[in-house]
Amino acid sequence: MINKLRITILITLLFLIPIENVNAHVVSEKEWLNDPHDHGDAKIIYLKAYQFGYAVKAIQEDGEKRIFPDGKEPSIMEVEKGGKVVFRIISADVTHGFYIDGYTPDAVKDNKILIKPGEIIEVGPIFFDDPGKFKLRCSETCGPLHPFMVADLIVKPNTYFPVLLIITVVVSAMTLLYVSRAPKNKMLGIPLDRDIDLLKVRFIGPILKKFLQWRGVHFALIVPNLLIFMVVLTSGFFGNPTGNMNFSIVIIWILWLAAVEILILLGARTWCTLCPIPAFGEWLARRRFYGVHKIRKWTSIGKKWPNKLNNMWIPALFFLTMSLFVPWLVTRPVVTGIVFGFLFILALIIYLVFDPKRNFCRNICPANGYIGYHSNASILAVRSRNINTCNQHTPKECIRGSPKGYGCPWKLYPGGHKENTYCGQCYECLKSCPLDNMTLKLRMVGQDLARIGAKAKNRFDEAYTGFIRFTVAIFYELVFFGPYFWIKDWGNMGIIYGANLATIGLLSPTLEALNYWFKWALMVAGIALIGYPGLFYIFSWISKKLSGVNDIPTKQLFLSFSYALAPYGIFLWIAFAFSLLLVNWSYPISAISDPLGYGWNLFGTKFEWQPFSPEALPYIQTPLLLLGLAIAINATYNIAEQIFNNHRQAFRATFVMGVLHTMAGLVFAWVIAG
Amino acid sequence: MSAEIQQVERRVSPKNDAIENICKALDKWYWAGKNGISRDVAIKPVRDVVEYVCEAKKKGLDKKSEVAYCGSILLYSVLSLTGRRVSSDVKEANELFKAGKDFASSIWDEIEVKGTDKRKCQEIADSISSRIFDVCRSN
Ligand code: SF4
Ligand SMILES: [Cu+2]
Repeated sequence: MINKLRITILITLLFLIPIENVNAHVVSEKEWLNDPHDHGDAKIIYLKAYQFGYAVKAIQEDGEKRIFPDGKEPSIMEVEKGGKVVFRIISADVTHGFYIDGYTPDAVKDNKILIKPGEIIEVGPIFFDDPGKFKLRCSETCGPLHPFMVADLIVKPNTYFPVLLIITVVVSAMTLLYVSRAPKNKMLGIPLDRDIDLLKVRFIGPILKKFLQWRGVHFALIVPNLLIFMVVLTSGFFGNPTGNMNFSIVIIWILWLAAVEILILLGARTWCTLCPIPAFGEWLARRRFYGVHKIRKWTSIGKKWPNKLNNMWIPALFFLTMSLFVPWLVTRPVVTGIVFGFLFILALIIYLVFDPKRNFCRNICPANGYIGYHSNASILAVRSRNINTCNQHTPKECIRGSPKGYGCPWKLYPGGHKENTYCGQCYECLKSCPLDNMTLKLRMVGQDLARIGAKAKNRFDEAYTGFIRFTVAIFYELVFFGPYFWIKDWGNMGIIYGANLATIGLLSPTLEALNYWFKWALMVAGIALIGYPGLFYIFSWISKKLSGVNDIPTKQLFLSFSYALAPYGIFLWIAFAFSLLLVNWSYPISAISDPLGYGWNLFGTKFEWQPFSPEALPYIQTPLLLLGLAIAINATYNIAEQIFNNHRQAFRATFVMGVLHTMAGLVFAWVIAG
Repeated sequence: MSAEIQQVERRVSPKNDAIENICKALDKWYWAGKNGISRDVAIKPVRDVVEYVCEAKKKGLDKKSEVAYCGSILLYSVLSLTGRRVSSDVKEANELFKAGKDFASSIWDEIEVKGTDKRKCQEIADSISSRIFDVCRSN
């Protein structure tokens, strides 16, 4: 058995080849492939819907029929602009649906197209007059991977793709041209040494300040989220096993995931302000829900947190591990339930055993790592108003606490904040500072990156957080919303069903399933840990050679330049978040009325899946990509300028790294439009 | 008067640096220009600190971090008695903090409390703070 496993793994390693998924036998297959109707000059596409994909089995055009016995791979269909297409569809297994972004007429939208097993459904002729890349989507819940049952339809000429490639190159060239003029401490023309004291803005400032200095603010924000998470846990364990009908899946992996990405850019670690996961530990340790305890006694053993864990490695690897199981995590409620249940319990234990600070948040939580890393690209930051005041102020209540607020639970010196990485925005320092010197600042993306990048020494943990997040963003967009079914099947271990923990197959995987998963894990981890960082290292080396700096090791440049991925990565993740939101926004709203997926309609918010202009996605994602790219290049320049203190050298290094960033941008452009 | 209180009060003399400093700091940042206030209100900041030290000792807390915290207690007590939420003067924040901290440190080892008697600490605080008020005034 073990030997067999070894051999399989070895063979898998040797032949990373796609696996054919379509094999279910349908009685009416012959009948289906021999269309008796005359469709005139329309193209006929013979589609077989299966769990989980659309196999193009034959294409009939000008009286000629091309057959793909194993289904066309990847599942991309092409039509000339102005062409007419009839889709002749059957189902290989269960009932599926059929939806084309931008081309499903309103009449059909209300009356969705169902493909039931044993039936032949003809859709069309559809007249394709609008060129571009469109997605075919399943519109009927058909199993765990249903939301990712997506194929591509390209209406030629897809001019947007080459145009986007050109724009991408032009934008990076323009950014390089801009930095070639040696802009000092600026980001795309906006000075980085300026910021706005949000608590001093007219009208909103005082209100915001009152709110943030109110002791109950944290509690008031956490409690609703705690209730939501309790519903998440309940539905994760007891709800409908089909992901998109389950509150836990749709709230966490559509709403929460997307919201957090957007929040990072606009509000840094605002999620951490709201997060209920460490709440039990914090309340218990403080023996208070929101007040400051009068006598500073904690409910905790208070062991010292080990220094070795004082970094981002566990969060980064935790995040990567979750990525290795992501097709499971985001489609099987029970897996989500287990992961979040585990996080709640772990946070509580850590609070009770170690010094009652945010050790769990800082050094364990998988979300913390990336939220903290990307927060340095945020436009929001908790900072001191006047650093001189802090320098003169010896008591430093922001660190040790005062009768008005706890000392920084994140173990920082808030008055001296120069980066966002570990500031959890609990706003205790706004309360504890007796000099009213702490505030909330609005600034341009990338204010701190040059400094953080330049001083990065041995922060491989943070660099790797950047690499993992950056590659995974592109990979997810390609895999989950792309036409490559074999990759999805790898990640899903080729398993179609899975109602509860015993039957989803994770506990007793078959050899075949392991085989699949192994390929997936190898691919994800390979790209994130070796492939892309390797490329990054090579480019760092070239940039060192080309800029002629010999006294700085390549390793240093590799680490320093990696911080450009903080803004770049977050913009790509926001682009991915839009794919999730526009297509699936109706699920979370429906789930409010039917959290357990039992068919309830508690508040009358339940309705059919209805994407919101998904055909506009590439145009929404384009500016995000371009902005991310331009900022990444400018940030690289700022970092290089800080390290070299020499414009010419900095520019040369930026040019080299800019080529890499542009290449990544082109890949993303291909994913969204090609 | 209980034995503990007597023991502490022995240390309460104008010759004690910590006492002298707390008198000065309070005079400068609190009492100055406030003639009409009652003895109780005038000495409340000191009372707050003594009570905290007493309670902290009862709970077996760590001296080093708690006496520092007493600095903040003194400062915040003065702030609230002067109708402010925050100070606008780093000097004030530093001086009151230091005075409170040193004072707490000087009385920490002297106070000995056992048991759970709630009123005990209040008694000690009342007694010590009023003695200190007299000492300050006699200067
Ligand atoms: S933030 Fe406030 S408490 Fe902290 S050092 Fe600055 S002035 Fe002091
Ligand atoms: Cu389907």
